[in-house]
Amino acid sequence: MTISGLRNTVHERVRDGGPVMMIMMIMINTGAAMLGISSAVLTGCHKADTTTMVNAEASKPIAQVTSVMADPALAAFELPINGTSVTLKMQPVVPGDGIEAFYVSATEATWDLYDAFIFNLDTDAGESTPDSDAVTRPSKPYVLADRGYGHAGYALLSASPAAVKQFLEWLCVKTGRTIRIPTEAEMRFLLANSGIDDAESRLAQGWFEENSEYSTQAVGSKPVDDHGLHDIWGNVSEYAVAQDGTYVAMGGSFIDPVADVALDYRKPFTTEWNAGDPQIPKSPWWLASNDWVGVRLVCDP
Amino acid sequence: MTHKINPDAPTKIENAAVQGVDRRDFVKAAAAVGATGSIAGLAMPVWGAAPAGDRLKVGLVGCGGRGTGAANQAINADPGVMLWAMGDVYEDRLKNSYNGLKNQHGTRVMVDQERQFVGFDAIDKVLESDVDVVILATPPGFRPDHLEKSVSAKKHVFCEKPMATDMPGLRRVMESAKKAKSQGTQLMSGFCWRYSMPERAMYGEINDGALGEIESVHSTYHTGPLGTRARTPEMTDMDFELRNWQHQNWLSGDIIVEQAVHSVDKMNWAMGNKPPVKATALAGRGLREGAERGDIFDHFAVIYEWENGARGFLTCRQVPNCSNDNTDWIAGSKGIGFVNGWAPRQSNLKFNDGATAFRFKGATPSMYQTEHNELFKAIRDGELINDGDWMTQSVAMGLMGREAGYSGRTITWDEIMNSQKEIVPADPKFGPRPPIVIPQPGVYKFS
Repeated sequence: MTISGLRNTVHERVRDGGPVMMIMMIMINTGAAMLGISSAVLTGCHKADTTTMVNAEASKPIAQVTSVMADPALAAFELPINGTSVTLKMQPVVPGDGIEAFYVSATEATWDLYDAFIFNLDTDAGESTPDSDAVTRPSKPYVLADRGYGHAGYALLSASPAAVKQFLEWLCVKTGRTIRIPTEAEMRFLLANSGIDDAESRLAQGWFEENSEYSTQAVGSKPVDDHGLHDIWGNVSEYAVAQDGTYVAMGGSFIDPVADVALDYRKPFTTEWNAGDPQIPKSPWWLASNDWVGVRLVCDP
Repeated sequence: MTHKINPDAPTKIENAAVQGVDRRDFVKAAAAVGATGSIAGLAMPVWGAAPAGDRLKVGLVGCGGRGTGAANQAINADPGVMLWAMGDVYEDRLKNSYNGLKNQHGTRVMVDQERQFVGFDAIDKVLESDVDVVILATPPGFRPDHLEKSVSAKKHVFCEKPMATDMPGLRRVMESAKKAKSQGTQLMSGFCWRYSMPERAMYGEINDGALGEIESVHSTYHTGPLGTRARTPEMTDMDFELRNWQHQNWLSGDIIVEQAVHSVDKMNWAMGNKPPVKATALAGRGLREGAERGDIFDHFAVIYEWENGARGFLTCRQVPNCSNDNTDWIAGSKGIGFVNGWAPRQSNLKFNDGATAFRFKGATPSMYQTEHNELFKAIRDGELINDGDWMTQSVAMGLMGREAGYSGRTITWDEIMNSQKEIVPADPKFGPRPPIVIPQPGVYKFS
């Protein structure tokens, strides 16, 4: 059984109300080091349950640690977003090589969560309150933001960097944690060490022009990668924060031919992505001319 | 064609005098450009054709996001265009619009303080300010009056959709459209999909018979709600309604006429611009709580029937946190078409055996910009654009669906065309407004 397969099993059991604490011993292919993965379901305080296993691989160069997904001190956990029906499944990732360990959502963020944010569904009757007003929320979209590709269970699209920043602030209020999007280095690590390294596996584990029917597909409908993540390649391209603080989209999307998508796929945000907004001023929140960029949420331990 | 326009160039009149002609003379369209085979070119005398090099002064009436966007597109369409006058009922809206456009276009925006008009009579003042072209982009309830005045003043018009919120208003629009055609002034509608390249190609194929005879069309506009503005102490009833105009039937026409009319228009297009004979609808409001949300519904499902037995199904919704869809599904005797304007790469025509009959591969420039490019080109070239027939028919279909939904009864085309119900006040002014009455199917009286 692969690590990702094993982790899947854990998550299935957690979702099904099975044992909430499982300790597994995994032989990793780089040697005899043993990792402990704790899959505690955590509520309230989101500090990970700890085990006493040693991460023997943490100091190895990135290229050689592809099979090390979890710090023994970090365990996958479920992060409910208060006031919504959404719970994020957060997977631990321990890159090493100068990149701190972090948690990453197993799926791209969906409309279920973003609607709660933009339509104030987390407040009574959708009305604004002092609490809900603490974070500026985007205006209602002029564009049909989901393009009809799918809504519940589908990746949010077309949020501008400004909107994403407000979204992240709101998520911090809702969870009491610092929720963010990956840095470019983190995203690059996730992609480079996904275990999905050629066109064939990208098509098997992601949505591209060849298999998407010109539409995004429900998140999590393809198998996870080596980090336990769905759709890290394809479906929607995902924002990452570049060193200069700007946003870039990485990982390719459902509109891209799979041959055009690799680690060098890097599309910096540009106002051209909202060129089609017919209003002046153009919306700072929505991207009328980009239906392929979305969001993956991460947080720190 | 070289344009040598700059802000310091002589005005069009001076320029025309230099050329020894009076630009305001009639110009024969066909003679001017030898227009043949152009969809825009009608064999009509065109009034006020302006050769390249002449300055064209544009007046904007209704300075919201769409109006300001349209002014921007007008300026981008032709180097001779100047924004010359602006009007809105609210100074804050006008100032925001002016500042945004001025920042973007500098000297192309020549709207001095004395040509910034605030109030319900701003339309009259803009029309008196020596503009050549007006952009009508206020809430739609005012459109019949504004269009009538603009056409009477012999202005070329960009007329946002919808063009009316009741049939007495729409009949005035029909008259104005006829007058524009006979006097040779431009009338372009804001039904932007008619100016979108993928849709032109798709509906062109459909109208040419690629799918055989059209038997049914299902058009959707399923989306989230539009924004609202909370009431503040200084607002009168009229202010409150204007600030929440999309949620007031008299101002917007309800969601089916204000927004989903785009889908109705594409249905009309698919059916060859032939009106249906009757419509039946189910409609209501499940989630429209609060005064800001006015008297409009949040969903409609309309069944249109044509004389030949074809049917059109129009469903629209504005409810948050639901599946969205804004597509058209067109079934003909030979195959099926699917149009997604927001994702044209999905659009295609298929034969009944599954083989692809057509897929658009061309460029997809902004349809909003294309509209203005074509409008100003037509003015330059002396060709006449008049969208009057089909645009008023599409709005009538929208009103027909709305009234069928409100009343719960089937409405025939003759009935809607003769509807006498007026919902727009004859003399709008700030102050009290009658209490809102929300229509109830089975109780609401169609008239």
